[in-house]
Amino acid sequence: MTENFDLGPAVADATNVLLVAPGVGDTADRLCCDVLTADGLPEHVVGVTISDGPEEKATRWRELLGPAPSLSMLGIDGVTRSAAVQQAPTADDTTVEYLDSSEPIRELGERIATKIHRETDTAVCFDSITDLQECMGRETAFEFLHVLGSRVRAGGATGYYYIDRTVHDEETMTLYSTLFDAAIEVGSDTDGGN
Amino acid sequence: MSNAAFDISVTDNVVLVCIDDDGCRQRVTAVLREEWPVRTAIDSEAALDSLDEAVSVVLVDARDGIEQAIPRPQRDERPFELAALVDESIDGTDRAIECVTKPISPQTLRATVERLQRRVEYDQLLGRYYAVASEYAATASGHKREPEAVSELKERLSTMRTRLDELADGLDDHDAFSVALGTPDETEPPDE
Repeated sequence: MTENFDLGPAVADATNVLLVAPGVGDTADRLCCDVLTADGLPEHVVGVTISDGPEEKATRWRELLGPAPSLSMLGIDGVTRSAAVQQAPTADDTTVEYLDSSEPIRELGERIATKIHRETDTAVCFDSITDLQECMGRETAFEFLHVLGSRVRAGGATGYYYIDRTVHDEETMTLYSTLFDAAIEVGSDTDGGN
Repeated sequence: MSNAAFDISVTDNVVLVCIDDDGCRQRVTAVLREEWPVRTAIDSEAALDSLDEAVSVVLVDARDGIEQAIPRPQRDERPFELAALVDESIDGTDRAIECVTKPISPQTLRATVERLQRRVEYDQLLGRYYAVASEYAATASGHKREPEAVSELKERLSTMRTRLDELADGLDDHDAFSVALGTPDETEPPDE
């Protein structure tokens, strides 16, 4: 773990949380896993990656999180795979699913929603808003995130959504913030939760 | 009307029933008028004349032809949701256009229109929320800090968000994500 977080009541009670840091890839992975650990590991983690390979990401997350919790990693990586590889179970209660990039992002949203159940303490970790906006533009990304947030809330889960601060201007960051209950920003003078 | 009240009042909920057969049209209209304001049309020309911003759901008889009833350009604009009455023998699943199978059950008809109305309201309010959120973001981030304007916009967003969340919770996953991402242009039910 690279950061020790005192999340505070505002974040601890939040349902949908914006994670803000500079950069993508390892930065997003470490921040998401550190926050999950600080908040008390859930029973199940649903990881979502728009641009990274889900299998590699699942491996990194397993290293960061340890043997628990169970992990489902969903990815869109632009490679058409055989049906046999579409859902590849791995060791350590980890499932990796590839969504064919010819399917709309809608399919991704619906797949995430199917993995949220009230009877299981679940966290959804979305990497990243930056990549989502790159795919579909700001307005559609914004609306997609509202729907996803509603599914997280209805399912009794907690959602963490990563955004790369170096890509977006202040206005865009403020726009997205209207969708979330709290934000955690690191890698600046405002390290920590708010 | 205050800004906050205007923000969440997004649709007049008018249902436009375009069915050639008099008996069918009257039965459908009688059921729907218990819940919503209804307009009727006997053909495409009358339907297009009646189509305006107040209409949120259009119901046509697939036997008359979807394309004939509401041509593609008007459907592509889609501020409204479209539903078609189809015969029992036609598979009404997996289509972009909602299908109501004949013989028509009043309960099914009402439930279908209610679901479509919710989609329209969510779609419109979501778009409006984005617009107000954009204005808020621009104002809050601007060089001229205007605390009163920021505060007012924040309050509007809070009111809208409550209603938006209610609407989203009332939609199934497919409907909710389809509204946010736009319904893809898929195949139509076959003309009967």
